[in-house]
Amino acid sequence: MIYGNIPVILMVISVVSCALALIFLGTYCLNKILDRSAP
Amino acid sequence: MHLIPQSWSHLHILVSVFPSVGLIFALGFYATAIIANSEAMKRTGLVVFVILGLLAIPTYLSGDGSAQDLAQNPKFTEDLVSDHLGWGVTALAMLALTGFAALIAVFRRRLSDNAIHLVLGLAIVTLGLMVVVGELGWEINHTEIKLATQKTPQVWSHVHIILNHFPTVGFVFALGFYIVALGLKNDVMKRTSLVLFVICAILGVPTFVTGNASMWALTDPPVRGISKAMINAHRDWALYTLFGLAFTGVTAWIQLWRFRHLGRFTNGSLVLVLAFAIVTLGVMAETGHRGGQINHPEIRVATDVQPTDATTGLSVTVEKEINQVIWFVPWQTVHFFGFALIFGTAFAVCLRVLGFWKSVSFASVHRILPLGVFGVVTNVFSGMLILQADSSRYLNEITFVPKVIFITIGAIAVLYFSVSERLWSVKAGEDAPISAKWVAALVLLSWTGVVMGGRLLPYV
Repeated sequence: MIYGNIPVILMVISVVSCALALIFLGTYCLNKILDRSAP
Repeated sequence: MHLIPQSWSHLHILVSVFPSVGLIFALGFYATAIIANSEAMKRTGLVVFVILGLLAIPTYLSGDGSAQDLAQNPKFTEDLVSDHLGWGVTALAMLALTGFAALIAVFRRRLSDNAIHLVLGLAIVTLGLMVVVGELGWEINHTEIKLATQKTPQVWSHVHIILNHFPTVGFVFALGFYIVALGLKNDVMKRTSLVLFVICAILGVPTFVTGNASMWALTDPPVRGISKAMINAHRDWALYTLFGLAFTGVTAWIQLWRFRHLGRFTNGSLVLVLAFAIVTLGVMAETGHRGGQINHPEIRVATDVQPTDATTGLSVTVEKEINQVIWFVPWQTVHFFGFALIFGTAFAVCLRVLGFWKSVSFASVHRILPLGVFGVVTNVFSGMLILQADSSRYLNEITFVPKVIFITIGAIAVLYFSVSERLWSVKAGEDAPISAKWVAALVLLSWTGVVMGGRLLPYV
């Protein structure tokens, strides 16, 4: 049973990783830009 | 597709939404100008009222032309047309009067408070009349909103034909104000336009959802004269519009967030918002046009090529794919992460406003707000995909409507945190103003409602 679910589990891990990576990158860049432009 | 009207009816349904729905945005801008006491914004608002007053002419002429063109068409009832015409003439006369008062006010060297308040009062009365005229106008053509045979209630269609004009017409106004603000280099006007972009983006969500429900209300069981293929073409474009609104709304909000910290804008990022807005407006115009064609056969012309195959298109493909477990479960998992981000961020910021962690200034907690906004974007995207898996069922669950209403209220209320001057000046050890605490309570209540409404969907 578990073997049949492996593609779904892998897909969950991939999609969630991509979404979290994008959110992390977006937050990192925004804060970096803000700190650089701060007076 | 022809976007340029080639008949009185087409011109009328296009022009008439500006003095009605557009008046709400003009009034919002004008009220902001009065609150912010910005001379440039007040004068811009007055000029907009003059333009809307002038639009009374094409609105009346096209309405009169449509009435004559469609007099022999059995679909349109003479009584409904004459009711709409009677109220329409009254509303347009009041609109012209508002425009005339604004014209006199704008040419005076010094703006007097009396003149400003007179225009405001006239515009509010005009808006009240426009609400009646608009409703009587929809009823002339949209007889489907009275159908009682459909599995999905017709209230969805009724709300959609009203609501869809808010992000579209509002976006035109936001873009107009934004261009004027860039030209005048007026920061208050830039911020107001950016807030308008964000509000339009947020309103895109209930518009998309009500549109999806309207599709079922008009196709299950099928209604004579309504083509599913044409609806699919409209909702494919609606998907692109949703992305355009998301890009414009998020980049606009980021400018507001950065301005809060830096006290100034950077030209590059303002131009980026402008570019997104122009592209989105183009996509939105095509979406609106295809939406209008669904139930307005009188505006179609012989050269229009209408879709006939209801089994093709982006939305149909998404519906098929998202029904596979391999796609559904990952996006649902992402949706839960999005909720965690939104609620976590809102909870932390709201608790500070309500009086927790007073050792931290409001400016410090304001820095974490982008996490919540990213959560909203994640969930609009994943939620839209999940919805397509079984939209007919989801939309008819009793907790879906409150969920969507709470999303709209919660997202708009969060804007307050990035625009309030009083809240921004709350330093470490200081208490937030009572108005901010009420907004914080509203934000928490709304997002709690969203999470609960979503979780209850499959069970009640």
